[in-house]
Amino acid sequence: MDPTGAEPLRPQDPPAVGPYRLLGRLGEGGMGTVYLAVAPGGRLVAVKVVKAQFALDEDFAARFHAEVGNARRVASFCTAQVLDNGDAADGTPYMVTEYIAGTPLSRQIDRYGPLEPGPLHGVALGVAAALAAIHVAGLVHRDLKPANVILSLTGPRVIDFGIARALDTSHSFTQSGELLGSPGWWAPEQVRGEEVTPAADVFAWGCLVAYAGTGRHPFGRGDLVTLAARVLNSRPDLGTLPAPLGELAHRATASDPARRPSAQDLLIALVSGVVPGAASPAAAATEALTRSWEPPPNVAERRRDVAAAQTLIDPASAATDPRQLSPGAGTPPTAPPPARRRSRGGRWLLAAAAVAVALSVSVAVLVRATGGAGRSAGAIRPPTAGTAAGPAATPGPDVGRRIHTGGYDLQLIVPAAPRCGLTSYGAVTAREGGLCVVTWTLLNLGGDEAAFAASSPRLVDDRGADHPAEAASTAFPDAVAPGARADGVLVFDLPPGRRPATLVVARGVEVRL
Amino acid sequence: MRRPSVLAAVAALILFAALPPAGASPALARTDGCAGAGAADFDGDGTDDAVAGDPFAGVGGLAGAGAVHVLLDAGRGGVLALHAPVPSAGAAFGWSVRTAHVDADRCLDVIVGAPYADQDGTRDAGAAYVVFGTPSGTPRVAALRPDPERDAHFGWSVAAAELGEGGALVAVGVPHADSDGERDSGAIDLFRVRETPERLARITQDSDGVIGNSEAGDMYGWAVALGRLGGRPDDLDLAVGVPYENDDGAGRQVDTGRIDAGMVGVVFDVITARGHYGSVKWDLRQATDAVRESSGDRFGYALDYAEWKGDGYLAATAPLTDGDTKDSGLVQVFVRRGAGQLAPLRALGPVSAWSLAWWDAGGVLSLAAGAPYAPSGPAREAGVVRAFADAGQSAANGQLVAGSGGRQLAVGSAAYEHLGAAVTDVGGATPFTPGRTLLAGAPDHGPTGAVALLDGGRATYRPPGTGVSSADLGAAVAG
Repeated sequence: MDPTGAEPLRPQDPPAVGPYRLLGRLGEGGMGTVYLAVAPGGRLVAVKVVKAQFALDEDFAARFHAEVGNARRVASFCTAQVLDNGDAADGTPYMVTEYIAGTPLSRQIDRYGPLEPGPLHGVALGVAAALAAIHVAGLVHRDLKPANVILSLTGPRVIDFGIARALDTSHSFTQSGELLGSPGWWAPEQVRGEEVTPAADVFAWGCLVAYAGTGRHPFGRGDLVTLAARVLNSRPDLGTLPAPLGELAHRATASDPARRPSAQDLLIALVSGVVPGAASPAAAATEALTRSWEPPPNVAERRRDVAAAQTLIDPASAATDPRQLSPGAGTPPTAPPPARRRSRGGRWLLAAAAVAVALSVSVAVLVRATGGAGRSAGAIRPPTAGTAAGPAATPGPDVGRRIHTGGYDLQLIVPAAPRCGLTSYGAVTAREGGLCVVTWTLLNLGGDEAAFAASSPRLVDDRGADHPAEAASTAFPDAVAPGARADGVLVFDLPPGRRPATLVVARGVEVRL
Repeated sequence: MRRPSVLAAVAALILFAALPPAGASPALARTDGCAGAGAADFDGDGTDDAVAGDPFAGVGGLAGAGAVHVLLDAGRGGVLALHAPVPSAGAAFGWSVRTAHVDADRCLDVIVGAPYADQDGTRDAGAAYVVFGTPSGTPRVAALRPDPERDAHFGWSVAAAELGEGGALVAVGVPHADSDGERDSGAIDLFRVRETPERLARITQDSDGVIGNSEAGDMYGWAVALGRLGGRPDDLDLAVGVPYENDDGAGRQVDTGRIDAGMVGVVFDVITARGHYGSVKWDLRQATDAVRESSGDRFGYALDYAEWKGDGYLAATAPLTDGDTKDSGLVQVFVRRGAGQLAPLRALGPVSAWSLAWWDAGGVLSLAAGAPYAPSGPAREAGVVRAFADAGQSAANGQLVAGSGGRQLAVGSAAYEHLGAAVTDVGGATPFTPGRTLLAGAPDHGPTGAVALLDGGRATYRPPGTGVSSADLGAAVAG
């Protein structure tokens, strides 16, 4: 299999577009052609060049570039980052995005059938996250379909969101009447030519998840007219999907756009319970995908080849962590090593893909928050719902503080207020009322080993009663080496209605919570 | 369709193209959002920004993964939260931070240490990252990776300086590395970074030409600073703070002499010397007559370097020297005049400073010293930032301590908030140019920590933004 997915250039293709040297063709659609190219810095990118006939419109270039400006604001988690845009030598506008190495979902289902529940959940989550990012930037994808979802080593990535299509803001038809987009993945309002809102993307999400989980298109197969009629007149056949995807896909494909959940709602529904207490949906999604993304076996098998090939290309980085080769949130593979399937020439292309991936260095997720002077926020806001049971209390003065346990060097930190009201934690079940869990870190910043004389830690509640630590608590070390840290939790069983007041760890070491 | 000959042809193209072409000139001026960047501007909006480390912050449910907050417009604007490409619990990303212009664009880049990050399953080997400033979207990150060594804490300290030919030299302290067979003797790794990092060298006390011996517990690399301190004027020199070095005579000794008295060393011309270095070092006795050296002084706990009117100034703190009172502390200033070599200039104090920053106080080179354990009236350990104006001037009678002890610039607002755990100047165009604004960290200000903008005697606190669960904002700052 060809990892880059690129076909050779055709005679009429130019050698370069702007400063990008073209290497192959990745695809062609109604609006233009997508090429695999190399940027001046050596990075592999995807360059989309708009068809000449559209470029004839005088306003087109200006509107195109304006929309690309909007697209650049989309957080690149789960999408392909927009890198650049410009005009080619002949005046045709083009845009440049990250090149995502992987298998398009369409090809994956074609060749290997429906996804297992693990990768299916990952795809549902990743595509929902991508839509949330696209929508919050004020865009609508308009053409979400399996061919536009790339299953990469690091997670599903949504590509090709509708830049040029967005120019025709209220219709999915060009001036010449040509349909833009792919029939069969459209929402009813799109087929009718009505205004297209983010809810249309959510409809496509529902269809896509059903297709990936059953291997069947929810509206079946057929020509443009047949599919359009089915979309308008009948509900999709979603098959049987694992929870909660079945329910979510059903709601996402409601005929009335107003009844469909938003992408943000989908994201929250998919990550809640996976990562309690996360700072924001984007961070929770990153965490959930990091933990749970299982690339299908054919995608995962490239990993060891990639690592070996990297050594082939660049011996200096032989110690490089293979995870670092992948852009975006990486994860150790959980799929077992499958049978090798490498074509004879494939090794060279794998090496090339490895170099490409290594050159496009890792990406950190940027979360923007408003400051005092009204800067507009660009990314997903953290949810306001709390996760712990019981009334929210102001953290005590020693939460988050570095507490000296004698001298300057050995420091105890409880970085967050205790989580209380838990019915169980690990093997411990609350008998009295609810469990409170206190996370602690002990740190030695000195030059000598520091002894720590911890007596039995106890928690004093707001009525003055003492509670000993439960067996599931981490024991404090007797001593901490220079520069070392010890991390652990203390679990206490509190009667109902009691709140933690002070943690007493050792003589003279008290933490007001 | 997939004939091997076609594959080979395409592959050859890709492999060839993957090498950066000589003389690359990316024509991205149209979309270069950093073109209008200020002198020290992460997001290219024309205002200078600062960064603050929050190493115990929880990220996405991972406790202690750590975060770095970009304080736009030195804390007057919004806050961006950065975290490691793959956050992991307890990595302490943001333990150390520095800023420099690393890649070709004009946006300021941030160098971050995560000394408790695990590498390839090697516990607490540590990691460091360069986060490239960007006007919008997610920043690109380059990882600096050492040979993983358990508990070495690569990234404990970081320093960066721009190179004349483009890119930057980045020094990463690895103080708990077991170098040369000695436990926790320490080391410093050097990288050249432009778009991607290139490992240059590892320097230990046993490196050829470096004065001193790798001894157990030295923790060489606890503090690092880059500057022009002597040797070739056009090559960068590395200043190293070694607060746990014992003053115990020549040869390898363990636990003899004055324990943890500390030392400041300089290795010259770290790029051109290529493994055969020249160096100097001072312990407290050699640097100053102002105090009597004793065990536990911790000379070299923090360093800062700045240039002013053609001369270079290195400040090093010894927070626990005993003067009139125990642990009263002092700061030693060294100067490199013109094309000469670094030499001791004067001592400042008494001040128990655990952080230092040179800054431009209205046209006068001044030194800010953070004293996080100083009381403010009855509020214990509220923290104080003291300022020494004209810190670069020779004292009237040689190297005696200036009696005044500097001026109190700001005091912490609450007991135990530890204002001054970190201080930095903001807005200097290069890492060597002192900026005009001062920012101090108060990592225990409330449960999240805060940074304080110090302006005209007032401290304006800036809490963290949302997006991460802050615990320790202000443990490290840079600008």
